[in-house]
This record gives sequence, structure tokens and C-alpha cells, in this order.
Amino acid sequence: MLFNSYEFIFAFLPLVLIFYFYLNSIGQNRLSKLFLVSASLFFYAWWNVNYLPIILASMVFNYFVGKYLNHKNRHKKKMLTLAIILNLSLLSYFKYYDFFIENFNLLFNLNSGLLYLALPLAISFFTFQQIAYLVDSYRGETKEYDFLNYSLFVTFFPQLIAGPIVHHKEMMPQFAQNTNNRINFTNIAMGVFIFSMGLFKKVVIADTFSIWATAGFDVAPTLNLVEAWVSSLSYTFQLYFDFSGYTDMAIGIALLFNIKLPINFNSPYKALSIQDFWRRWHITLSRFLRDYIYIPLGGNRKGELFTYTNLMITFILGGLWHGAGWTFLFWGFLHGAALVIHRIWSKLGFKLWTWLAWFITFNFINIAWVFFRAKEWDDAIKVLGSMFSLDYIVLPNALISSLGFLEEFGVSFGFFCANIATSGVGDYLFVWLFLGFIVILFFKNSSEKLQTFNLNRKTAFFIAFLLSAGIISLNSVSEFLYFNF
Amino acid sequence: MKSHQWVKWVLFFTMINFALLGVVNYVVDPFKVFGSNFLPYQVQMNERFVKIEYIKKNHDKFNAYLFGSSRIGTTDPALIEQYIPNSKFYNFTVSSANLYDYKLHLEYFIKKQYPINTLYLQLDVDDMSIYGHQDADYLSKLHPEVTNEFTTLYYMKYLFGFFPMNTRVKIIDNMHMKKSKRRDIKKGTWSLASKEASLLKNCDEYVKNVSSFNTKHRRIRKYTTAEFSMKALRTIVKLCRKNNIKLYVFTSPHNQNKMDTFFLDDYNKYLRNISEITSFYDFTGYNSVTKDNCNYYEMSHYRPQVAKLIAARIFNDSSIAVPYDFGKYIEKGSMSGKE
Repeated sequence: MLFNSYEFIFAFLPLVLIFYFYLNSIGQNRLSKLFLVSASLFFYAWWNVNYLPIILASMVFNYFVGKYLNHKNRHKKKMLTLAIILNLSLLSYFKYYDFFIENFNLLFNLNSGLLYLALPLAISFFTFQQIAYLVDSYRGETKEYDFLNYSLFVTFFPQLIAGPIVHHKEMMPQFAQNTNNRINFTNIAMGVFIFSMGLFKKVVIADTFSIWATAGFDVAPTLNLVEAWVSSLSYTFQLYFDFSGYTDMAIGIALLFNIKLPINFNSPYKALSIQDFWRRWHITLSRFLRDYIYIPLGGNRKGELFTYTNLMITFILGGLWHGAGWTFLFWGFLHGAALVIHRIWSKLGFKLWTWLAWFITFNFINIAWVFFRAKEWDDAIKVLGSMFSLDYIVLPNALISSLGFLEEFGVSFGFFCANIATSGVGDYLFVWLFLGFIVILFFKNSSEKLQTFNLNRKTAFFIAFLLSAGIISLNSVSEFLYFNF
Repeated sequence: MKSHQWVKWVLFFTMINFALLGVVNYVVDPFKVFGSNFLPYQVQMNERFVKIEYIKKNHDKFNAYLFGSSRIGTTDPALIEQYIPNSKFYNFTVSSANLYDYKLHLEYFIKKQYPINTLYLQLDVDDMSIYGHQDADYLSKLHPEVTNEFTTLYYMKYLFGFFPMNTRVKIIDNMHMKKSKRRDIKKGTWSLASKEASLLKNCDEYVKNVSSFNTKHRRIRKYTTAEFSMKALRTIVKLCRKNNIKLYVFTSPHNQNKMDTFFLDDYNKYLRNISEITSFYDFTGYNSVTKDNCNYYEMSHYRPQVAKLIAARIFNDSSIAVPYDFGKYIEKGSMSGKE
């Protein structure tokens, strides 16, 4: 089920909310939790009920291993290693098996069959979340909770599908706290506020940019210079508004249940360096990569060379986490390399003007997203080729009187976005891009707005506008980009 | 303000927004599904809905149909009727149609037992990989009776959907009373009187001013898959055979500029796919009709005079001089294995 669907907004969410608080109001707290777990599993199974046994088995296994790690002192390390290997094996089987076999075949000229398995929904998210739980249990950082609370920690539907990736220690106490079992209108107001913003970001903004991004990447070999830049920028905006919109919705829905989820985005495109970007983009994933890969590898404690190696390994694995493909791996490599360069640069004491730092950072991110978005390596190269090639330039007809002499150099004049901008919404492409820049650079993000929002008619009207605009745009339902990761 | 009051205000304002939107959608009726007719000029419409509503009331007047995208919309039913005795054609052209539309509409007519003994079916090679329509495409939504959708839900979507572009277009059209395009719902056809006049007056001048004739096109029509379209075509052929419907299939004569957007291999594959299912008349390719821009309003839509040539070729009318290179009969299976 999608957050941005009629069935979720008008049926699932209100019914679950009402029934959950009703059970709590009659003192059936455990039953209410059981109901919430069941509702979350129903939410999960809506796409494909076949995925359900996988998440259930994973949950049961990790709960008991965590319990063992909490209580026993013998063979703890072996047990942790084994459990992590099994978790990663499950993920690898579904997500990476075909990728490895394809490359193995290519390398050794073999013809081993592929499995073409459908990726169980959210497997990357719930696997990482539970690995973190196991490591925390091993370190003695988890408290003892029963299976019901643990199940809620893993399956809680607002964050189940695409995060934020939450820590055991920030969720379990909230589920256990009795005061969270009562309706809290302050949280409901905040929840409605941020959910509406998220819905608007996803349905109105991201889905509009997706039209041009999809059109551009679908015809990658034929893009002219302007079209290639418009396609890549559209995807850059789409991805941000899509994923941060989803996170806002998740945070808002969780607040309705009195649960506070961690923020995941903090105006990432305002970043002035790549390090700054990773402190603002998908914060809970960055936190996971830092705590469970980078630091265990040695972090920055073993000298500069090891630090650089650790950064590269962490980001290449981060790239692979997003998808089984060389484009994702290369995207991770690019970010790792950029972080290494940034570290060397900072060590040398160099500083850039603020605007130049932003310009370089933003363009690097935009270019790297091309690899992230392209279906195939060739498509990425073709889009990038068009972005930086002067061989195929089309300018608007309106410029022909002043720049007509450029025709001698192969520049043509005409409909310069013919491949990606269809009539109608395409007429406003550049207005949208301009507004996109304004919003990402000069507006407060939704989490900042949530901190400062006042309960008055003005904000009620503003939120009602966003909510209405979001709901009436639901007719073009599309999935969240991060569902695939 | 207290939190619960704020939440109530949000709900109140949201409902006001929906009410206002509903009123605007009903009054402007951007897709002509409510039939409110507050605005006099109603060219922008959901043809699929409007035509089914018309056929529901008038199906006894017809026994034959022209199916195709907007490109067949300039074909006068009388033109075909002259070749088929006792036929009464209705031009069921619908914009951006693909085989999804043809299959579902044919199934609907058969299910409803509307008289139908001839089907004149035009296929667009450039759209062969497209099957169906996006949910958000409200201009192309099929009638709820055709798709077995809940009628109330269908109307609710039109009442509470947000259609700024379509609303704007309808209002502007009515403000300027822009009447360049006319639809004849009784025949199902459309016409462009002012463009036709300009073409008759000075074709070269007209062609010079239409951007699609003067843009250098690149080959972008990739062969993806026509699997669904071919499956639908197979179903149509079977349905026609089963219900004694005489089926004429032909491909649109794409203007040379449109042809410039095809990859040759892909284009050939589509033709081969069609020939594996049925015999048909092929009017695509670079020929004396498609290479003459004066036969088109723009690179997508041909003029009524081309429709006459198509019919003359299909019905072997020797009284009309059809260019020798325009249209050839492709026997079923004759293209198999050919590259």
C-alpha cells in the first residue's frame, strides 16, 4: 500500500488509528500493539503476500539471536558473525544473486542461469535495521524487550518500507511508554502538518519532475545539451522531493501514534561540501554506514591511508546497498572518492568561496545521480556525453535573430526540449526548475518548519491547501523511488 | 489555538477546497463528462466517454465502425459507405488511441449486441509499443461501462481531480471562441476548417509556418515490445471472425517527418508483427503521399484527401488516381523471416 493512495489515506490509516486508540482506551494495551503489528503486516503484504514469510522468519530469527547475545557470554562473537552472515546471505540471495552470476558468467565465459527473483519489499531496510540491533545486543546496548515490542520495532508500518532506518534504542522505549497510548492532539496536529507537506512534495513536486526525468532517461541516446541537463536536474529534484516527501509522511504518520522518528533530510542540496551533503542526505543510512561499517573498519584511527580506504569501502558498499548494478557501485565509488578528495583538501587548509563550494558540490551530486538513475551503464554515459558535448545543441527559435551565426558551428534552432517536454505541463518546465532551486536553497525544510509552526488559522489554511493539493493529485499514483532499494 | 481546534480548521478548509474544486470542475466540465454545457464551445472532451454515450443512444443507426486514433478522424464515413453496400459507418476515432482502445471497444459493442458487420481499423506504427493509458490521462479514460469501473467512482474522479491545464484550455477556448477545430459527434469526425482553407490558398506558405515540418527530427522510436498490442490485435481478429465482422486493417500513412523518427529495424519489426497476425494494407514508408507535406496539417495528421486515396487503394477504386507507390497489400505471413 502506498502512503499516497486513496485506500491508505481514506481507509487504512483512519481505521488503524481509531481502532488502535480505542483498544488503548479500554485498557487493552498489549492487544493494541498486537493489532498494530498485524495492521503493519497487512500493509506490508498488500503488494505481495508472498513476501510475508520472509519478513516474519527474519524477525523471529533475529529476535532470538538478539536475546541470546543479551544473555549469554559464550560464543557471542561467533553467534553474532553467523547471524550477520545469515542476514546478509538472505539479502544477497534476493538482491545480488543475479548480479554476481551475470558478472561471473561474463568473467569466465560461462552460462549459468539467473533466478530473476522479485526483490522482497524493504528487505534492505529491515535487514540493516536488524543487523544494527544484533550488533547493539552484542555490545550490551540493548535492553530486554518482549517479542511483541520487537515485532513492532521491525514492522511499524510508517517506517517499514523505506525507513528512516531506526535504532532499537530510539524506538523501543517509545513503544513501551504508557503515556504514548493516549490520543495526543499536539502530536496529531504536528503529524498532519508534516504529513501534508510530505504528500505535497511527493505527489505534486516530485511526480511532476519525474515526467521530465523519465522522458529524458528513456531516450538517453538522443538528448541534446539542454535536454540532458534538464533531465539530470529533473531527476536530482525528483529524488530529493520524492524521498524526503516520503520521509515526511512517515514521520507524520508515526506522530499520529505518538512515535517520533528521526529526521532523514536536512536541506541536502544546500550542502557546501560532499561531507556536509552526507550529514544532510539520508541521515539514518549515513549513521548506519558510519556506526556499523566505517568505525568497525577502523574509521580514522589508523592513519590517513587507512581512513581513505575505509571511506571508499564504506561508500562502495553504500552504493551496492542501493542496488545490484555497476552503476550503483560506481555512484558509491564517486562519492567515496569525493569524500577522500574533500578530506585531503581540508587537511591542506584550502577554502572556497561559499557560492563556488555550493556550485561544485551541487554539480558533483547532480552528475553522480546520473549513474544512480540510468538503467544501464551506456545510458549514463550517453546522458553525461550530451551534458558535456557541444556536438548537438538546439537553442530556442526566439534566439535565432541574435545568435543565428552559431548555425555555422552546428547549433540548430527549434523546439529545444522536444524529447522530454510534451505539451501542457512541459510548457512550464523551466519555471519548475527555477522554483525547484528556490525551494531547495532558500526555504526552510519541513523539519525546521515543524519546529517553528504555530497553531493558527493561517497555518491551518496553508496545510489544508497542501493536503487538498496532494489528495487531488493522487490520480497519478506512482511508487516511491526508494521502494526499490 | 488548541491543537484539536487547529485540526478541525484543517479539515474544514480541506472540505471547502474540495467543494470549490467540485464546483469548478462541474461548471467548466473540462472533459465534457458531466454534460453541464455552461460553456458553449466543447471541443476539448473525453471522446471515449462522449462517443460511448452517443452510441448507447444511437447504436441502431450504425452497422459498421471506423476505429483508429485521431488520424482517422478526417475520414468521412460516407466515403467508406460508398464502397460497401448497405453499410452505415460511424467514425469512432479517439485521440491517442492504441490497440487497447480498439480491443475494449470492440468487446463492448459485441457484449452489448450493437449491430456491427464491418470494422475499418487503422493502426499507428509509431504507437505500437504503447498499450493502454496512464491513470492520470483524463482525456483518454475509457467509459466506465467499457472497463467495468464503478460509475460513481468514475464521476468522483472527474469531480475532485485537479486539472489546471485542461480547465485553462477550455476557458481560454471559450473566451476567444476559438473554433478552428470542429467535431461532428453524429459522424464521429473532426475537421480543421481554417487550416484547410490556408492549405488550399497557399500550401507552400502553410508548410513553411508549421514547425513540425521544419524541425530536423532524430530517430528516437525505439523498438521496445509490442507484445500487448499484438495480443490485442490477435483478439480483434478472432472476435471479428467469430462474430462475422468483415475486418479491414491498414497502417497510417505517416508523414516523412514522422518516418524520420523511426529506427528502421524497429519499424520493420512492427510491420512484421502485424503481418504474422493478419493481412493488411501498408501505407507507411517514404512515398509520394507521405513525402508531400501538403497532404498533412502537421507531421501527425493527414488531410481528408489522403483518406480518399487510402480507401480507393483498399477498395480498388480505379476511378481515383492513387499514386502507384502509395499503399501495398501485405498478405498474412508474407513478411515472416524477412529483415
